[in-house]
Amino acid sequence: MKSPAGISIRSKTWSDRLVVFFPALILIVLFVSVVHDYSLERRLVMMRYLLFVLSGILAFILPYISFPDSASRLFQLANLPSGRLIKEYIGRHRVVWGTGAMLIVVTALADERGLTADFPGQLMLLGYGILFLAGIYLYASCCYLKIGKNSQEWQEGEKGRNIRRQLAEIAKYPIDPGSIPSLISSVKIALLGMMAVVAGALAFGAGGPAGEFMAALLLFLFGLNRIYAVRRYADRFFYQTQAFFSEFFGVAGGPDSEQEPLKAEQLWWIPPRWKVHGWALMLQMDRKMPSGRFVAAGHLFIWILAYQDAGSALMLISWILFGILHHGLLLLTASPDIAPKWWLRNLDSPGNWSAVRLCIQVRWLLPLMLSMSIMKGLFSLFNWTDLGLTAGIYLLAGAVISLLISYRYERRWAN
Amino acid sequence: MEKAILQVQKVTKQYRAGKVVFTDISETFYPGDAVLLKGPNGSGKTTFLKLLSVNTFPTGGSVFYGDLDIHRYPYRYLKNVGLVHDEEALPQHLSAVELLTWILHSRGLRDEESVKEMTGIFEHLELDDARYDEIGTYSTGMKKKTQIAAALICKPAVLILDEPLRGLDRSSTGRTLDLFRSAVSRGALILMASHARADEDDLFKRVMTFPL
Repeated sequence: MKSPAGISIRSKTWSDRLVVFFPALILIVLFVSVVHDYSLERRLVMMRYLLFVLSGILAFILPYISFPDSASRLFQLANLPSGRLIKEYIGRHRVVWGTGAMLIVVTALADERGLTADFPGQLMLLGYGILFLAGIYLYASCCYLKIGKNSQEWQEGEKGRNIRRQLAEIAKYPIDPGSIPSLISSVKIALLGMMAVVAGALAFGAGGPAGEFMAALLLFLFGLNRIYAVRRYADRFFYQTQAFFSEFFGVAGGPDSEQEPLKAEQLWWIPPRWKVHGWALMLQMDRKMPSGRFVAAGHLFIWILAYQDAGSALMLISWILFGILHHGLLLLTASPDIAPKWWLRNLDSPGNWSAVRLCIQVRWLLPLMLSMSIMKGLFSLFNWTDLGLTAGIYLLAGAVISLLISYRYERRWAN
Repeated sequence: MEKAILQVQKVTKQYRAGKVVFTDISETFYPGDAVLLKGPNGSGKTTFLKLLSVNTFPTGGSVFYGDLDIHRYPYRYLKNVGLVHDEEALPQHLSAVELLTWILHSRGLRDEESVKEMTGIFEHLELDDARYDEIGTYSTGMKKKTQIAAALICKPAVLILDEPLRGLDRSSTGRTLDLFRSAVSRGALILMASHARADEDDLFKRVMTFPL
């Protein structure tokens, strides 16, 4: 955020940026390595799958990276108008839509043959992808900007209380009713994106590339219409959703949860030296965000993709992408709410905290490998080397992100 | 009869069903009121102030600034409000002067008098040369003074202050209360939660004791 005098309010260091851009860079390189010799037809198929996946990611990830916004107190001091609040809100997601847009550019244009007769078609494909992404993103961001009111009603009302009780007693599955509107929105957004991909493919059959382009244009106009509709009252929506998520992740959460808290002894895969640190961080991470549900949704999404007969290259990229995305959860441990600086510094060295963070992430590796192995057995999409490659990239990305998060504090203290 | 500036009408707040902070409360505040919120930790003072600063939304009921429902029109309401939040949340790499400049710019209030007014507030709070240093280098008390200056610089009609005296020494506390006194004398409403000994000050004619 820049002041009129060009002053930066949200200060970010190079390591903050690197933590976010490193996974994006890996993805871009991976995509270039896959699509560099693709024909226009294969690029189109790849683009559809990419948009399919991006719709799913946007559907799940936006509320977690949007709220609570630690800068909201500053927004109040400056009393930002609705337009500026929307700009700030959209700016917070730039890593998501920015990475998505880069992948679309690569899928459409990265071509080892340089400029060919396909180039006009590639440009149209690029336009299709960007319009589609913009449309689904605008729709998703509007849904989540407005979600505070419904979420609060579910969280604080009697209906929510009854659901909480029933789920705990009957299904033995604790869930905060305030999260139900977000779950519904996730499904709505993912379905809209997937249906729009299918509708675009049908339009391609009827009217060629222009038909599919028009489908994306319609989605974009729909998204634009949604953002226009919320623009006038964005201040109300922003502060209400901000208030809800601040309470949801703070005072409204926790103590009466029916779920048995995690115990340090359960973390069998973490060496004793780091076990208690890992336990303390995981307890907080899981209370702040339902990581298990998030990961399970990702698995489900990739399996849906596999049933669409996506090619082996795309499936492998999806698994690698999903593996890297797991480490986004580590960003929670960069928050002073979960890991205050004094706590990190007094209890251990950055090297040890890096190891703790990596150990925490290892918990998702087994389900990842298991799911991939089953898919390998059923669809013969990859070989054991691919599994090894995915595990290797998963661990490497986890290690790099853990190191970056852990040492950024050390550097700040030194300053 | 004087017209109310802020009206709390039958407000209930619960963080989830059964976890009630207060139920059906109604309060009226007038221009020039200085209200001290007292009570033990966890009694609802901060929630009440968050409600009035649009940082929490009521489960039921409404709060009006004049005729304006503050939770429906936060931007229009916040134009008239100065805030000292419970969490400091200040940008670490700006100086206090830059922060206030940014606030005035953003609110469209910066004019030729601004520098003079900023200087006046900072000098009164004894935040002298340090006001040009980055906030990240400040002590707790200096950060609190920056928050107070940020709340006062816009000459708001309503001042919502959550523990503004925490971390201030005796002299700074007195000087801060002087600034609040002058805000009240120009007709501002002050709502302040404090564990410091502000209740001994003659500024606060009204005390709200929590839990309500």
